[in-house]
Amino acid sequence: MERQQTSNEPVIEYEREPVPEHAQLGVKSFLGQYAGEHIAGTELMIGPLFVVHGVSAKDIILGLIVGNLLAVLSWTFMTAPIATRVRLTLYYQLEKICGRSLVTIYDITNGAMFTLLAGAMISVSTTVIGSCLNIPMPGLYDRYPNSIVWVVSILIVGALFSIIAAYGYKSLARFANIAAPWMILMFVAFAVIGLKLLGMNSIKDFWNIAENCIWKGGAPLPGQSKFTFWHIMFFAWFCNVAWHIGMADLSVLRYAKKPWYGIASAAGMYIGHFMAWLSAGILYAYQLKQDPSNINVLPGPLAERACGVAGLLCVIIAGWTTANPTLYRAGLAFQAIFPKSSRFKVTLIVGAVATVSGMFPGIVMKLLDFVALWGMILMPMGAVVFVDYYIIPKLGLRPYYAEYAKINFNLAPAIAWIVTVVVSSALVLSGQIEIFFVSLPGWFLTALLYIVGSYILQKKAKETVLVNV
Amino acid sequence: MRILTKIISGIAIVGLLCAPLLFYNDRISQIQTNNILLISSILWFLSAPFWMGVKSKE
Repeated sequence: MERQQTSNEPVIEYEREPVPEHAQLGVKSFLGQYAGEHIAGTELMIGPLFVVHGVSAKDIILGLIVGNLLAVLSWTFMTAPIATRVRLTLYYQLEKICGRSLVTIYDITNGAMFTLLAGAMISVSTTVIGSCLNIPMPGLYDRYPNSIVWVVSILIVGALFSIIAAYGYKSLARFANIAAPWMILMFVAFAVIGLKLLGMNSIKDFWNIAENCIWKGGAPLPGQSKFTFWHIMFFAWFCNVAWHIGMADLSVLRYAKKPWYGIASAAGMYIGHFMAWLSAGILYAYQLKQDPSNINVLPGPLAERACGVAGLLCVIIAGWTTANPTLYRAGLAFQAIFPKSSRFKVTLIVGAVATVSGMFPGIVMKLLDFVALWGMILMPMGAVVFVDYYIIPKLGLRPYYAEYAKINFNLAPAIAWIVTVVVSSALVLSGQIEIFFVSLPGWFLTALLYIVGSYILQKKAKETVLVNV
Repeated sequence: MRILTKIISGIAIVGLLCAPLLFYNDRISQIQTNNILLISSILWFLSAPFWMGVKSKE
């Protein structure tokens, strides 16, 4: 199947109809897709940032095991059952529930987040140029570009990524699939070589080195919050919340023959979000062992220290292959708002914005917070889809209300979304709850608000119809 | 041709797997490890496109 061959390609078929039986795929396709998609250049930032936050060995390992398990269960029991029964994209389902205008706002938000993420990937890949040419690169605490050479390097890398995403999306998507198994082995090499360089000589030494050289616990670096088991667990669970609980992967899993195929996400979680994050943390620990004053998180130099030129290749390819679909998806999101504009031009504009955002290290150095923010903003729409499918019909209310009432803007999900984001942001900004924990209560708040809002609006609409009759 | 490229890819995978393990067991130096990783990577990217994601004619 085409999709099997270029599995990173965003789904563009059956946009407004259920996926027919002949187009449905077996579990192997999803195993490959999830394993490939979750080994990205940004994993090389996330692993070291856990070390920066002073997490202990026990907390990171247990936190990642439990958090990734919860993510897999979310895909399996929340996303996949709706995906395989309805077999529609998230966008089309949202259009039926929320109306066209509200989906446009969701598109803009989604596109903006994808653009910023692509900017972070451009930054990650540019660290390779920095490593090769020995140019000054941003530090952990830098929020603004710190040298003209860094800005020029980002411009070059960003322009290359954008032009390729606009021109040759399909061929690079195929290249990404070819690179995926190689990248997995490179991350294994990072871990094995890194552990040896840290002094590990037998498997018995692992826990001693993990506790005393890598994830030492204790105080985080100055200016960083202390991470515990709960931070790691919630981060691992919610870093892809927009995809599982947020339902973006309805678009992918609608191709699954059976709902249990959601379990294939375990390949991505335990390779990308377990092994790759731990490997990157090991590389950072080796950097600190060599020079305790060098606290910069720069994937290029980290990878080069362990694996030489092959390590640098891995950073640039991991960044490139994931920035490509990210730029493409951002382009598609914005193009949906302006359907007459050319995708080529939209992707180039998105690439230019991503490049400018990539110049600011504040985003990539605060990647953990950015990923959590993304989830917090987009997750509520997943709660709306879940409630509309399972709870609304049981309450005697009408699902897909925007389609039924022929309205462009359904106030019930709009209020649920906006109120949840405003309340969550207020809680985070006032320091009452950390951003990593706010999405879980946010889901219940959205669900409750959507049920109450639907009840009031639908009852009011019924009364209006009765009065008119 | 397809079989030959599959064999080359297999060699590349063996290189990518074995080099870190040999380094771990003090059989080769880090420079040798890095060279094997680089050569194996090049072999992988030269051979895999000929069979990965390409439908067999049989």
